Amino acid sequence: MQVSYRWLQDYVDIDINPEELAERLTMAGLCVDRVERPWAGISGIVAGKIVKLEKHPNADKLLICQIDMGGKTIQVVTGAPNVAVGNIVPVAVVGAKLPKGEIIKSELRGVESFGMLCSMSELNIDSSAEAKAGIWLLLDSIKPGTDLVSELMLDDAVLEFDLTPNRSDCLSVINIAREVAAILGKKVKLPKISYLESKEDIADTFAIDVQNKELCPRYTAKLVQGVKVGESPLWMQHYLRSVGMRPINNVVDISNFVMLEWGQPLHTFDFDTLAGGKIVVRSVKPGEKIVTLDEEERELPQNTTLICDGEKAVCIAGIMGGMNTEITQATENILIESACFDMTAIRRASKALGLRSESSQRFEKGIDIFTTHIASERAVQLLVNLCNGVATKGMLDSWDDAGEPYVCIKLNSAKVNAVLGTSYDPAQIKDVFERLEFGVENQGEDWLIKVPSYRRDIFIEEDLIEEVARLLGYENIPTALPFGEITEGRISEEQAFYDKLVERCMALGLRQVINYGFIGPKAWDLLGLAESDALRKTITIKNPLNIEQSIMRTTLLPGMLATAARNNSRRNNDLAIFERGSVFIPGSEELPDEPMHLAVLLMGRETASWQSVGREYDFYYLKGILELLCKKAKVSNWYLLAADDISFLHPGQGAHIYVNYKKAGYIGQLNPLVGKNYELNGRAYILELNLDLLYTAKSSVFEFSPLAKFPPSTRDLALVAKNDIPAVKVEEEIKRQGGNYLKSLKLFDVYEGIQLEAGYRSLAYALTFQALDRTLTDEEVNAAMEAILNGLQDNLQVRLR
Amino acid sequence: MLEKLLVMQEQISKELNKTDLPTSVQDLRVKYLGKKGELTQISRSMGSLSPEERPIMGQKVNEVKDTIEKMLAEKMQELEKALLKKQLKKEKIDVTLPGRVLPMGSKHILDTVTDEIKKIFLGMGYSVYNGPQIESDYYNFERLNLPKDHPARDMQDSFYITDSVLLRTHTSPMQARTMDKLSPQLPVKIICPGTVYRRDDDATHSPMFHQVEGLLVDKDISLAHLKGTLLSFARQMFGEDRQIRLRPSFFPFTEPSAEVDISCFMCGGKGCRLCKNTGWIEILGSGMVHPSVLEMSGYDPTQVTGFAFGMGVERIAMLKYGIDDMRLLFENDVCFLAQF
Repeated sequence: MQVSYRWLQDYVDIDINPEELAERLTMAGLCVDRVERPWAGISGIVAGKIVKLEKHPNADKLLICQIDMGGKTIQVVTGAPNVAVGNIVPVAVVGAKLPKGEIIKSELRGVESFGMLCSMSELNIDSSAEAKAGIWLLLDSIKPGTDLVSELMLDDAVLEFDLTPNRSDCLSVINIAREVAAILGKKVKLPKISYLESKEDIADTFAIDVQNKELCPRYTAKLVQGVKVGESPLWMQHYLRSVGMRPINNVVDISNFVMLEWGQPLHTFDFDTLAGGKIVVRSVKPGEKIVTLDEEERELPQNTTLICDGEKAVCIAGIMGGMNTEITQATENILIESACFDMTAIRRASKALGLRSESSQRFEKGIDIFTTHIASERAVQLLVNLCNGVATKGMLDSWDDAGEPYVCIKLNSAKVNAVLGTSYDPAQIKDVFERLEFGVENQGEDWLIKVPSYRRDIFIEEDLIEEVARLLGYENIPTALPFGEITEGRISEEQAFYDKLVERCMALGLRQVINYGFIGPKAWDLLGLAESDALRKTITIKNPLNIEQSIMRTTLLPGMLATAARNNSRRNNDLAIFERGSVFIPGSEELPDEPMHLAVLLMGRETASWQSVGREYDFYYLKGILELLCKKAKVSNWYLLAADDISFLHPGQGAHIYVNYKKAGYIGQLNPLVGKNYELNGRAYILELNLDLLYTAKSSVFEFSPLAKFPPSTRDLALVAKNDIPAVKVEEEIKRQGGNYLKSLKLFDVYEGIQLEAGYRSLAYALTFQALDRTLTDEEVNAAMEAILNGLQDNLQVRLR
Repeated sequence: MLEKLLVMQEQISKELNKTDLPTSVQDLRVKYLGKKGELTQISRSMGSLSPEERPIMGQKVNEVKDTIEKMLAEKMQELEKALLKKQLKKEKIDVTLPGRVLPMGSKHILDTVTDEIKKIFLGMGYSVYNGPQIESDYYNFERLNLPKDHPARDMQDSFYITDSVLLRTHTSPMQARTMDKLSPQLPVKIICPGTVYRRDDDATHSPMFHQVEGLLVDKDISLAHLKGTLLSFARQMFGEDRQIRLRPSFFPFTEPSAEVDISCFMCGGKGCRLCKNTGWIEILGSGMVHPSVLEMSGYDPTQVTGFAFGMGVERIAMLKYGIDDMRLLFENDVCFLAQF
């Protein structure tokens, strides 16, 4: 909503400038985004009457005008095609300032010119092609010599509001003026509405028939005859333009003006095009169509409310009128519709039609049913005064339920202070409601506040408390900390577990990324997932912004790969990144399961320095990360099972991660084919882990190992084993046979090559034996070593190298 | 004999002065003090002395021996020192060469900011609760006083899964969820960080973003308490000299409602580009919990009151770290990530 400052001044004496007013309104809850002065700096524009026009002797396209400036005559050379003797035009005289620059005395091809004739676009009033095409021809009633800066209100400012949805009442200039009056402590001056009426009564010849009172609680019709359609007065044109509406003709302008003034949309019909002497308000019939004012034929959705005459549809209720009853230059008799339609019905119809208008916007937010007839009468007054119309007696009105135009709410001043934490005096509080022109009645300890019908946002005591808070100033609310029981701020154990995991990933040199929760279904094909793969069972968004954001992720992988690809495309080829985030698994409940996942992706190598190249990332680098994360999370029951059936992993470098014997994720080299699909610049290593499963597998006790006081014995063990014996089997065997004193076991070399038989490899371990209570003897250690070697030989055919 | 000793001492001193190698010092030690060394010879010959002379001479021999030992040790130390000095000189490096590049991870700025917010409110005794991102219309709207067809639903354009399930448009459903869980317990003092979604995508909007919701329900909670709490938050988050300003606003689930601005931390309130010359920056929405919301959640609004607030993590991160395009937050360019 935009409002002209001058327009507001018609209803309330404003003694502060537009910027200050904007600030005060904002602090009172009507947020003003901007104050615009589109015409600031324009000066020296005077109305002139063209008294003589002759061709320029040296230029075909130029005209020399003699212009009566109200006493003195000046000569202006113009190139405008549309001027004639007798026209009243805006003249920028020598010294005038326009957005384009200052006007100076000039000479055009040997002829002196003392000013410039202006088009609307040169005055920043209208920038359409039509306005640019010629000089603005003003109404003949304007006297030569009139100062147009003030007549056209070029010194005006426009306040641009960002209204909250509850304050749709302020889609009305009068209601904004009421706010201004309350803020400034002034009285609002409503326009006085009076006009003479003819003797014949509309009810004698016309009728209204509202078939569904729920869709249309009130319908009024008023007739004005003998109207002369023409241009609106300048002030009205200015007001309309200031709020962003184009003047059309006086009848249409009046209906728009009244809508803006009162917030009540009106519709005007050319009365002579209405057949059957009546208006019928009804629901649309299947297949019904109408050609609307914008010259489009529209098929009408079900449940649309239609305004019809005795024969045909003439208007889509509350949204847009029909071409067939439009006001034209020839229109003489006008039927004014001022009605109240159901907000939800209008909202739905407008949505279904894809058609929003100034009118529908107001109806769908709700209007004041007690203002409906006032707006109609205001329009009549203007049609009589500005278009020479004659009002026909009487108003047709379908509303019989004229209750009180206010709602009563009890208010207690102690409660006001309790909710706000203030200590306002009851008189101060009462004054707020008097400024707002709400009724206040004493009722024992309480007040009964009568809220006027146009304030449709106030229902309960708390709403009234907000009125007090905002009008006495939020800045006057004191600052205090809550008192009461001391509370312990807590974070759940699960949350703390996830948070720590993030910290550890960082400590391991990984950078955290955050990807969108939604992905595109194309990902499944890029990953080469089978049609039946469980990951393809997703939650689908009904109204996505685009297909790439249309399903909820069931794995973090597509996001990680897209991030890797984006980085690769920007020459960031060394990546060590992780994401912690929810995935969405549909189930039988209304809401899906949202397990927390962790994904890690490595590509390239550690950052190089001048001393050395960085270590290249590989499977074991990634596995090292997994090992440390599990260890620090105190999860011991986990293992990998090699897998060649995970479509997006390298068949020889992939594994399922098992936690507590449950499949909890995967780890491996990304299948290079998938890497190619994502346009990655190299090999990538990825893991993904269900953190909820990890959480349930963690041990909650911390086992402290005392530091040994007695020296350890270390032995190296170089073994030869068949290639296909997994290292984990060898380790398990060593641990099993090594006895209680085998403290640690560290693989320090893996060798395969010419020094060994084909099909065999060497694994070299460093073993440490230690007892807490004494130094072990050589014999004890030797015995353990022998047991280990025997076990390896007997159970795995692994021998000493 | 005594003379011999003194001559020898003199002799060693001369020889030591000429020595510049630790090994030569060692050789001198052997030459004089070794088993066949000269001093050893002398002390052996003491047998020829009279019993009266013997102790006097013995003492003299020991004195000379000690002196020689001391001279040798001093020389040795001196030579070692010189040698080390030489070596250290050779080991001079260019300290201006860059250090090694060590792997160091980073937390995403949005998580960092969320953690900061969490920490501030944990310190004020708030507990952290989490809830689902895919939410029912019931919790996302209805329980927040936003029935179907309420015009205020337009404020939050939603992604729908079904007619009754959607991607939550704010973290506010956690108010209702947590109150359901805790009712009739008092106080309810929680914050709920989380991911939310709205159908918007441009330089200032992301279809996915993050919020932190706060809620305090207890006896006698007032708007002044909200103001005090948020002032404390603003100062911890943006600096001790921050001021806050409440402006009336509208949220269907709070009444009265307020937008909260902080005094601009760039210009201190004088007006600059960041605060669009107003001196104030909007950081969050808040208000007193609407009585209907309390009632639907099992609390009697005539007995308890509460305040709630919700802030955008992206907005706070962008303000605090001067990030000018929201899309950067989700592109995950490592050059961006590495800055935090």
